[in-house]
Amino acid sequence: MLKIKIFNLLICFVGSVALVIILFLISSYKTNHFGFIRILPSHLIDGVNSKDLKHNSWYLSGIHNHELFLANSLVIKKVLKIDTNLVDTVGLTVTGLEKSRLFQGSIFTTDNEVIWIMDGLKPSILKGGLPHLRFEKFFKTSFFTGSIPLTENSIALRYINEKGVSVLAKEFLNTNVLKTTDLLEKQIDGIFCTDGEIVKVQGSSKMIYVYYYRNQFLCTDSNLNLLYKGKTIDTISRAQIKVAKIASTGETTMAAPPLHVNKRACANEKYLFVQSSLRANNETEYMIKDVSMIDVYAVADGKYQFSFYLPDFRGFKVRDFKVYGQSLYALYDHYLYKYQLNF
Amino acid sequence: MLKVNQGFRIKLVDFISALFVLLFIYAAMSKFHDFEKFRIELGKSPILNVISNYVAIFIPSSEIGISILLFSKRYQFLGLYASFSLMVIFSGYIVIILKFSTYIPCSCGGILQNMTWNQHLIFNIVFIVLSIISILIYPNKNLICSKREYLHPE
Repeated sequence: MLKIKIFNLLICFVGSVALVIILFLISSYKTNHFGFIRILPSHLIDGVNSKDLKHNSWYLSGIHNHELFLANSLVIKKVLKIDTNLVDTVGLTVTGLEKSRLFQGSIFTTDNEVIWIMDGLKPSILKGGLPHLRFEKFFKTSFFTGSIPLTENSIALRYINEKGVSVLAKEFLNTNVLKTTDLLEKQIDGIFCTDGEIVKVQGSSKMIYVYYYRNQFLCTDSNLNLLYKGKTIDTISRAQIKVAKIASTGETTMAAPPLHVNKRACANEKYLFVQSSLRANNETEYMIKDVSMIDVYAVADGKYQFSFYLPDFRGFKVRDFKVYGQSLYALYDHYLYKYQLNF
Repeated sequence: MLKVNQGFRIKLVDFISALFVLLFIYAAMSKFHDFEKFRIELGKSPILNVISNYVAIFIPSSEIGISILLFSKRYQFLGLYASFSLMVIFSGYIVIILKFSTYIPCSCGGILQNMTWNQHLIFNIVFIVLSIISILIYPNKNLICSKREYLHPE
């Protein structure tokens, strides 16, 4: 009798252990291969400090020497310099804009003391030096719809070619040579369906293009040679947008609210951070009501790592964020908030 | 086997069963009390997230089911095996979480959530040992009876 009991206990034990192991294997398989499950470790980020910027037109332009630079989308001349502890702010004015007559454009501050203004509508590119924020070099280009600095003398741009399709290209500013690529894959119309964000990888010459409407991103070297195609964790492999042409004006526009997949992205040396718009199976509406979901991928191979939430701040959603080293800076309306990364 | 007093054995088994019933009912109640939270926490679990919705129902239901088994004289023995298995499952889950998971979520309710995972593991092991003891000392006479009924329902 005792033997039978022990035997039964053993069977129960083995069965139970096997059940747990099978569950473990199934879920790690699903998480790694198909499903759309967000891995949510706790304590990945800690809030450090916040700063009231008074206006919501500031955006993050870059970092240099432990000083954060914010540019203003309304007044192109204004730049705000804040130390990385978010204590001291210095208001600065850029100079050298007179000749170009630029009134808008994106300002990029890069780690090699170069500061850029890029305006794809004008279209022109200005290059200057950091300490005095003086723009000295002026380049005329063709129209473009997105850009980032790649090296000291080249930029990556996205423009609409003669066939009416968006393409990524590298422009060598000194020689005015444009090297076009066929990186962007048309799914519907070639402009909206390939829309996305060009992301500079901090401290590297790599570039990443994150599609807004499909679960993909591309990583290239500084010559825009494809290194790999990455997949974001959701399952939207085809852009779900409707595009219509308005005959009377010749305009092409969205015909239905698009299904946004990736809202915005940025990268530090090791990780790509993608703000996703989609809810995972292991999340409820209630959970993600007051947060923004950030999914983290390895820059080296594009593999999904884990996710974390950026909670809303004083009722505002994140409108922009950048990661420099171990610090994440997020903008909430007119507030700047610094988080420390614990990974 | 053991020449321990039959009555004492029965009392001890009943006592251990009562402990299990207390534990399971308490655990199930605290899960159902804030079911939404329990379900969400399970969803974050690295092991269960894929099937968390089913597990969220299954765990507290089986806790109550086992409690009912333990209550009834006839199925008490079966209930003890089930308790043993459930505690092994919980412990296996904790071991996997501690050993193989990159992060450690929290999904227990009530006072149990104040325990660290290691304390939890020890707590579970104590209950596993209790269930083993109760199964081993379960009076064979009762067992044979119920077994005969089980084998020959008529």
